[in-house]
Amino acid sequence: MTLCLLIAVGTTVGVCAQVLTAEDLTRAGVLRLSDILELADDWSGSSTEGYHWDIAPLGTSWEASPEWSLFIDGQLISLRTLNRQSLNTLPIALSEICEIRLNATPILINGVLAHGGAVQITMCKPPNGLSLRGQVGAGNETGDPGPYKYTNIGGSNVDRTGPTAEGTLSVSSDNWHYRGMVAADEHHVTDPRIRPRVLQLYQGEKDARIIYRAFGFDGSSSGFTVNAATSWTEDLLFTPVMGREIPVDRQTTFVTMSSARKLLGYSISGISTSFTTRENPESIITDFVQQRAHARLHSTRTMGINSIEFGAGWIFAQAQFGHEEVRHTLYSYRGDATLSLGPPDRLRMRTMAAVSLDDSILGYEVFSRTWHDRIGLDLRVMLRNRAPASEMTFTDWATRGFRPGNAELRFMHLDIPRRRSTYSIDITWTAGNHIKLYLSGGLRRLTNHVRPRMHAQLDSTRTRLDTITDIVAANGQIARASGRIHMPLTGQLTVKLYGVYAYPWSDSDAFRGAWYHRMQIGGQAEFHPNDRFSLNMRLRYVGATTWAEFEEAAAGNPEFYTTRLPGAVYLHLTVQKRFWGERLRLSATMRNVLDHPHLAHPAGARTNALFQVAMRYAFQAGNAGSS
Amino acid sequence: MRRPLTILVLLAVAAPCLAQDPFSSLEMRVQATQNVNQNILHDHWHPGRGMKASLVTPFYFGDWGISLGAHRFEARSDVPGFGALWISSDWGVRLPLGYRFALTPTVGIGNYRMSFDDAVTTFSGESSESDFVSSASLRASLRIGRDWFLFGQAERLRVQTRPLMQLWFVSAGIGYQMETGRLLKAILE
Repeated sequence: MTLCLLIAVGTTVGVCAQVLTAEDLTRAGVLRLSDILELADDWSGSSTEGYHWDIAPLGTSWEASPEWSLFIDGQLISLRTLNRQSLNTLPIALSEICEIRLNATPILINGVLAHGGAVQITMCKPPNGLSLRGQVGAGNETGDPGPYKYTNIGGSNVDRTGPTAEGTLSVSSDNWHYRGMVAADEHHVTDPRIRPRVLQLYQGEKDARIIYRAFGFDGSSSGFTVNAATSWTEDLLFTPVMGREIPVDRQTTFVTMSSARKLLGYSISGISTSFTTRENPESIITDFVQQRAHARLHSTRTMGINSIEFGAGWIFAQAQFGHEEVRHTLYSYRGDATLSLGPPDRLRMRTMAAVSLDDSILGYEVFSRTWHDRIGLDLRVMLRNRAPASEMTFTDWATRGFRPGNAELRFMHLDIPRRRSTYSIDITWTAGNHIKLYLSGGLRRLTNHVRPRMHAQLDSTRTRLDTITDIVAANGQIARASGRIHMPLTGQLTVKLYGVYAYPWSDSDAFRGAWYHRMQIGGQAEFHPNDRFSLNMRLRYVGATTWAEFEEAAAGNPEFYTTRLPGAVYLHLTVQKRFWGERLRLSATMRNVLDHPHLAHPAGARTNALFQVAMRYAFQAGNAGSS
Repeated sequence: MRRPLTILVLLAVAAPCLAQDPFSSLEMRVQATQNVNQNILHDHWHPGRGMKASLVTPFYFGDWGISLGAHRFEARSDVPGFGALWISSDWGVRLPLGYRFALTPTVGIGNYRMSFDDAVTTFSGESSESDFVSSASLRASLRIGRDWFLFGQAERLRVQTRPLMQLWFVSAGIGYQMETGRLLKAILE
């Protein structure tokens, strides 16, 4: 995407995506991948335990059924399990990430249409020679009692983050590289506001900690790339479907291979995600395995400045629910053609059309993008009807008649199966040289969609929240507008202001009720007087609609919900100092800690005057040459 | 807080004068440690003896090293005893006083992990605790051969709990210094 007009100040902004460089991530004190949410202008998110974050582009997708896609080095990687897609389960070394692009609008990547937006991760090529790199980090909320918790002078435990560690060993030359990665993380779910809920299930069973381990391998040689990685997470997972935590083992594994040859290239990927319930006092059993294999052949023909790419893909998806080993298997075939027209600095266009056969149902996708680099305009139009199941969400499986474990699902007035259609138009305009102004607006229409609608009620003897999930038909429209302005005040100080607003309208309550987050405004200031010191400060307000269940919960347990806010305020401050070039970086991050005692919703959150302080030690050693 | 900062500033000022060949040697040390101060922590726990092992190498300025320490605190009252494992990254400046004798002030940061004996808690997740720790120390070393040396050290630990854990340790030990080979030096670099 060479058309992106990049601005090299702080978080970079392009016409097509928000770009976070490795330097942005480091300066912002990012310890976990989910921390990028704090840098994302157009995305919002929530968490029940402070580790897994449900994120989505504001105004483009329900958090309850995330539709955004994840790409690593151009390959689609699905982390979906049940209703969640948590970045922190991804087996990846944060210190090896070169760039993250956050696309809040539809985008076409290697023939795959990410209709709900995309997170694109590009890994760095290792430096030439033998190299050992990594980082270690740990964070604490202030006020941890340590051993004093056993005395009358100490309070409850509040420790929360890490230690998190990762290391990579690589060998590389100009034309090839091989790299191995190990990573580990721990999250202490001992926060006093989360602990009472977790304690009921885990007393005497296991540590109330989320433990993540991962290893991976990637390599490239003469245009051929391979990437394989796996992660295991001992999880304490709050499932919206169940309405409570269940102890699970979660595994995510992916393998990708690709060749980028123009005449005939290919990409092959296999992804498996699974939940397996651990033994628990509640005898809750939920097993879920989702596997997906994707193969695509593509060929590009160049005609002067124009080109056309043909692709043929095959998708195999399989889900297994419950210990009864109920399986559902899906085969999807897809043919696509992408036409690229126009020279640089003139009006350009890229149009993709795809036809698919998904479980014996014919569907199509059309995506067209027209843009002009000099004027700064970008127009996107998308039509999807009976769309191919390149990624299966929980609602896709649920509408095919499957349900996880003993969850209670009710299908409300549905003619199963429903096949969703989406139509959208987005326009963006970027102006200015020194001060950059970015305006974006769009409209999406969703037809024959469904969403899980949870009925929540207090169950104070256990998890404080119990839910029944209805699968509800929902049709409607969402209008979305966003603005962003970058102001480099001096060569050392940059200020950014942004705002996003999404407005849903529909006859369906389920549709309107899905958009908890409707407004987001924020600002960021970055001060870096030299390349050895940086100060990064962010303030964000996320507005929200009324959440009826919260009012009920607050009435039933006012002590637990002491402060009610119409939204949530995030404050984040990172100070970083580099020593001896790239060999050692220390950063301290302070952020307020939001309270998410149950299915998180900003209206139900309360802020606490607690700050997290994280230290990061990055190391690099080897006989490295240039990268 | 001012004292560690003062030490850090003094070390930073002194360091450029002591530039050296980085990663040219590797120093291995073991030492026996003893907590010697008394404060509110010691109303509830009695300090036991401990051990500490360190690897130190010349850095671009000063010396850089990593340390792994362990010590115990036995319960005095109705609290669980605990063992502490302390890993730290240290940086210091060696100040030679003659051929055999040297003083080395250091500062360090790391993680202080406490593993509680058992059972007083109802929640197994609370059987261990990890907290951020900073340290400042002064080490005196005496060379007793070409490669071997004896040393004594006074060290102050500040564990970021509430209330703060402030611990003074004295220790004595023996160390061995060797040249780093080409491979080890290449990896360290």
